[in-house]
Amino acid sequence: MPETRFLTRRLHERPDDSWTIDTALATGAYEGLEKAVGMEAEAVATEVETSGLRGRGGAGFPTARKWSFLPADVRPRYLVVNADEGEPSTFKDRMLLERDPHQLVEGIAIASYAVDCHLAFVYVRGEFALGYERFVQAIEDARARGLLGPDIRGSGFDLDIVVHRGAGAYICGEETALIESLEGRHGMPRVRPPFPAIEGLYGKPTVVNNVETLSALPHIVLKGGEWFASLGVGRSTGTRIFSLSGQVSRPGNYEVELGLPFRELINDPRLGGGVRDGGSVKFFIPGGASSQWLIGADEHLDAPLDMDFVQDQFGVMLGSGAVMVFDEYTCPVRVAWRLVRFFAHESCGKCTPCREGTGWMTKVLHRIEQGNGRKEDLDVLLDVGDNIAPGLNAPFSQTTICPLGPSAVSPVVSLHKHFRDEVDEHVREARCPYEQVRAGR
Amino acid sequence: VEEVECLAACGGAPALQVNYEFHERVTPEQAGELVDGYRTGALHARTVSGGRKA
Repeated sequence: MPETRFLTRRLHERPDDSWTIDTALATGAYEGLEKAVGMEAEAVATEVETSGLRGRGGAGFPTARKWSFLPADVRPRYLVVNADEGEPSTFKDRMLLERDPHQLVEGIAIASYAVDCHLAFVYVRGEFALGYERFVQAIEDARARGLLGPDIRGSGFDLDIVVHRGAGAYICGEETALIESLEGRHGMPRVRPPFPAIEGLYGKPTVVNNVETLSALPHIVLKGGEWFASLGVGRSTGTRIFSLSGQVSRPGNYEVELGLPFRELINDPRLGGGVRDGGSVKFFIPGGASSQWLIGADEHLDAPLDMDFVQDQFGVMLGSGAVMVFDEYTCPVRVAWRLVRFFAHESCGKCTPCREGTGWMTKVLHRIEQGNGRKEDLDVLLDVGDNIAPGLNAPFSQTTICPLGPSAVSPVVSLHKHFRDEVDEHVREARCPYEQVRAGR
Repeated sequence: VEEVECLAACGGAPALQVNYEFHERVTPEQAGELVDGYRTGALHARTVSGGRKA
């Protein structure tokens, strides 16, 4: 099956200038907004509810339901756009920001209209300089055409957008840490409740939505919620952009209908093109670095890209929609070490189990990989993990404020589930068995 | 030079960033050429100033 392109249509069809206002307008941009501001705000929200759209940032929470939590009588309300994409192996929002900023501006305007917000804040990952420049340009151009600012297209609806650049911390992708950072404080998560919908940015009711989520709105408004709901499978409706990486022939972003099997995403010649150099899938991470792993068994490869299915059947998450593929020459212990090291580096230090535990897990994984592992090391890892995410199940319970700590436990649990023998081999032989494999290639 | 885990560029790995300029699918030879280019001033890396724009 080839791609099903809606959110990525413009950037593929007009690769040389998809981000400019002229091209955007010539290819249908802001038609959704024009239609939306001609509707009642509640009707727009109802359309989104009908669509079944769920958040594309990682948690997969129904977008319209998130909006519905805003208290009815408190103003102002704020929309905060999470463009702080930082989940390792995820790179879809960067593409949307750089190559179709007007689609995002339109989505922000539609969401703001639906929830009666007049000031939206966009938190852009600091490294995305090109995306930032193009997005700021898009806002200026849209404003000059009366598509932003006061009285948008004579509708009486006003909206301004503030763009804020992050400074490189992964934790600021977590919505409450993002809000703290926006307010000028250290990027550390807040205890919930109160949830942002009740008390968010500057203490006001706040909706936090992801770039891809918002970019879907123009299409939902134009074509209707029923249309969107007719795509996909079960409660995973619509299309989704999957960032495919690792040892595949054609890494990249692919927009496909939800429900497609992992095997097709990885192997279809128009999508991943199969494992590089004719190899086979040893294991893969189905939803970004925070997700637990699946392996190259038919049961896992034939599973559909369906948030509920993978959660119910295998206890893993589709997360941010990033699929990382590893071939049979990859050492799973090394992968786990690298991933946990990332989380240790990015732990903000607010909660003790995460601050201390991620560091310990990194050290133990490193010594196993280096050939200095001890027999009890996997149990030590699980014990540390259990102190962060008691029960070690997904969805996890947690001793921490935010999901970063439990995310760091995912690679450890995955090792335990699928690669216990390989961990033992590292310890028994006092070396990484893949050293020779790598050297011999 | 700093090794980092995530540039949101896994689709273009191996990737590197110079100031705010991204380079993707970089070969060892190209990496050397890039260093030379920036050293001699033939290449200029993107810079961005300002944290918030309203």
